[in-house]
Amino acid sequence: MKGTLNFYKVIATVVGVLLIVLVLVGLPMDLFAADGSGAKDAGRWISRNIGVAHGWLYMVYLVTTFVLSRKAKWDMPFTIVTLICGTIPIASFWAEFRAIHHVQAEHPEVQAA
Amino acid sequence: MSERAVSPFSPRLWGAHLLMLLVVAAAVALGLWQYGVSHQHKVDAAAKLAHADPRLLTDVMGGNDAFPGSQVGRPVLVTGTWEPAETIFVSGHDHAGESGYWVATPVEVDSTKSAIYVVRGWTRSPDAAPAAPHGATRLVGWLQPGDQTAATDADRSDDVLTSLDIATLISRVDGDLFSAYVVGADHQADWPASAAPVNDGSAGLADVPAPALPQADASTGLRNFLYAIEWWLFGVFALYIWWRYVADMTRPAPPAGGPEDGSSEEGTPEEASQDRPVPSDA
Repeated sequence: MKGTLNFYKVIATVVGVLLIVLVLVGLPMDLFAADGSGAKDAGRWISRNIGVAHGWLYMVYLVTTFVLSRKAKWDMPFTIVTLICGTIPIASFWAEFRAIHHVQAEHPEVQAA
Repeated sequence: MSERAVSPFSPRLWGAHLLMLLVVAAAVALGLWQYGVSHQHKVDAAAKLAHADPRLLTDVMGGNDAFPGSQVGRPVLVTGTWEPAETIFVSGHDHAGESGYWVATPVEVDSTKSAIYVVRGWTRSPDAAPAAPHGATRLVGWLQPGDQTAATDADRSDDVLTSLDIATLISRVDGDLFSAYVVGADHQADWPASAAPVNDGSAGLADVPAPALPQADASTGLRNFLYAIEWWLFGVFALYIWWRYVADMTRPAPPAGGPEDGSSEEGTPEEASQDRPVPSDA
């Protein structure tokens, strides 16, 4: 469980950061920057490459979260909310915080993780 | 306190079943949509070049140049002089379900010393083909690389070949050949605006569709294809979660007091954890 929780922390953070870069930086630059400007090109690059990377890492996040939810015996609503929050910028960090607390509260033995 | 086993058909699980169906249906549909987009990208990219404005052949490649790989299927304007004596027939080409031959005659291209084979059209048999054209010509056709084929020509003495292999053709023709051939495109139904052809030699022959539309860049549409796969994997994952959930709910609860189960059976775990003060890890 400790290993799963640590891996969950890493993947949730990475996915959360990528999602913010993608949605709050890349897409606005791609959509609103002037054609031909450097910002537009950067935005396009971000939305193409980070978009694909985020998509696949989100799958890893889903599986990791689900494995963690089984080990920590989360109930289904908590699990689903945590899974879905991986798709919402910034909310993903809240979900991560909430999930880690939940695990540590329920399973004091992983406290030191 | 332990939950009783639930039937898989219990109304308590209908919500889960419905949610699973919706998520899976959405994932399949979104995957199909992305797959369609990825395919359309390729078709669009190919059609774009095939219907681009024709460029002068000599601007696209020189008489001694290797074939420019990115120009497969580009419409080119060929101006020059027919070499009717070098007309060949290429076997193994069907038209409307009937087997027959392509009819190809080289054009010596103006301001070069090289000729390029022009596929003028399709015929049922070499005997049925009209006489090859003479004189100056100006026509638009799709640029094609020479065929690569392992098939050997059974009878080297006649004008029937199995493919438009440039190396084979060079040994038959006086003078040089472009390392390409052209499929006459002046009379294609979907051809938007070709330069007015002059003496293009296609009379009496059926039109030939471009044999190799330009291959779209491999990365075109790849992103959408990957998204399609992702959506389908999401669908599979949703199915798995649903299955686990239903299995948990329908499994008879183990006897209470097991060492693993002790902690989670007081109230709902979520509430329990949030009411509890954060342990002293700060």
